[in-house]
Amino acid sequence: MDIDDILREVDPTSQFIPTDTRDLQALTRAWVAERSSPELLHWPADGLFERVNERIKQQIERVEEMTGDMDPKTNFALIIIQTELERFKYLVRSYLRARIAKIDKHTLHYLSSPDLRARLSDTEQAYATRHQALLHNHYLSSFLSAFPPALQNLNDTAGNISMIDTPDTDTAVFIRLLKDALVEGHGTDRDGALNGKNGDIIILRCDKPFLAPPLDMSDLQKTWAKHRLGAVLTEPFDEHEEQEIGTVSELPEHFDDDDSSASSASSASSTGTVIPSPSQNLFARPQG
Amino acid sequence: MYGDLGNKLVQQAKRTQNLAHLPPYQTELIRAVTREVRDLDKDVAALLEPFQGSFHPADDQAVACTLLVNHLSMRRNKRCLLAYHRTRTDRLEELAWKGYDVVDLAGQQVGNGASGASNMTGDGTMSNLSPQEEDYIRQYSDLLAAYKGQWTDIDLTGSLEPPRDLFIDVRVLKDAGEIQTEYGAITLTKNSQFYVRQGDVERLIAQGYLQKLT
Repeated sequence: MDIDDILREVDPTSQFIPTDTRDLQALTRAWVAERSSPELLHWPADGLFERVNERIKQQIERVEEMTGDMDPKTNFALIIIQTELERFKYLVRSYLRARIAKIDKHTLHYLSSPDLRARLSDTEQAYATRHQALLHNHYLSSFLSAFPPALQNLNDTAGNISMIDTPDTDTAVFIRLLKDALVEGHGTDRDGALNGKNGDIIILRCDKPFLAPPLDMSDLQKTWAKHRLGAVLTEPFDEHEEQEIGTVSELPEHFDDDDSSASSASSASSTGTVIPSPSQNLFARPQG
Repeated sequence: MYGDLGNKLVQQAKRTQNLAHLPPYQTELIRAVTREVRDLDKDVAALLEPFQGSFHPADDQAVACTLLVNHLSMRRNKRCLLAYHRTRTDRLEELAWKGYDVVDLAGQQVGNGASGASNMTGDGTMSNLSPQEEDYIRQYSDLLAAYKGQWTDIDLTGSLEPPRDLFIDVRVLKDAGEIQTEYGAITLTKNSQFYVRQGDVERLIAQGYLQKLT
């Protein structure tokens, strides 16, 4: 069994996996995606972490119960449970830390609009708000209060430089296709598109990797939402929203809230197929 | 004038990034840069005063140029100050995440200074922080503790290395007294060696009491 098989099992088509396993897979995916994407992804909305937490608690209790038992067999089982527990904890910890690192780095950016705020969990929001307040206070008491009032802001945009640092959405990300679709990418000189097959792994610029419309509208959105940024957004797509969007050209705007500054980088009309020229190096596809 | 001092601050900040310890807070420099900003602001006000709020850049280009330079210098200084403070607070936060007790920071840092240089600051690291920074890091530690409290089972500040073995060999570098594990109490005396559960001793490894043997 290699990594492809493992990833394949998480495909939406395989519904018969028990929820425990699915949660672990969802957690792993969220972790991989969070660590490989330049910007903060949405906090899993379907209660994934509540379930994971609950399970960790149960296992800890179980370990405590079993510790008293001196039977060698129990001891062996205990070691396996504890090892698994450590791994689970590591996944959660690493995931949370990756998020906190991003939030700390671009605090004001993620607090700046309701859409971005919505990506944070409640605790993360509280943390980010408080952290920013602390920083601001620190600046104020250290030097900022002695400044002329006009210069005391932390969110100026004077001189065409915004004080709010934003994540670099131009960096490359890997995406993996869950079904056949046309993938479009944005190059330095021009855009390109390519027919992606199920299971393809593609590297492309993160700013707005999006899939050209296949025939079915809802198909597009589902794949699109799932494929962007490393392909691992785990929350179920809102059916209600799908119906509200009538035309293809509205699709990118719908997702604009995800993109901080890159909204000008592409437009919805660029759905025409452009054959990538060899010199462009827009996509790198592993052969075979 | 015009950003010289700010430049020094940035150099300080840059230097800080490569140091094992936090160098002393540049109180004088900070004050000087802040003063420069205020002076520049006064200059701007003085320059604009004769115009009574009806200044047209095209009419008097010399003044316009002076104003522009002054404004840019002020903003630049502000950026330098922000960068300097942010570099330092980032470093402090890093320490907080690593689990150093801030009140105890001075002792920890000197003890940690095996990598060098921190003996230079003989009287302890606390004096290297400005009072504001001490305040800041104290409050940040509280915040961090509160956030960690949401995830009690996970131990957020734990190791970010993927766990490989449940049990590891450790050697005791400094006397750490007795610790409680689920297999009973262990007394950690210097130079002894133990086979223990990693989760039990992670914090002690991070603090330099124990060394992990591979």
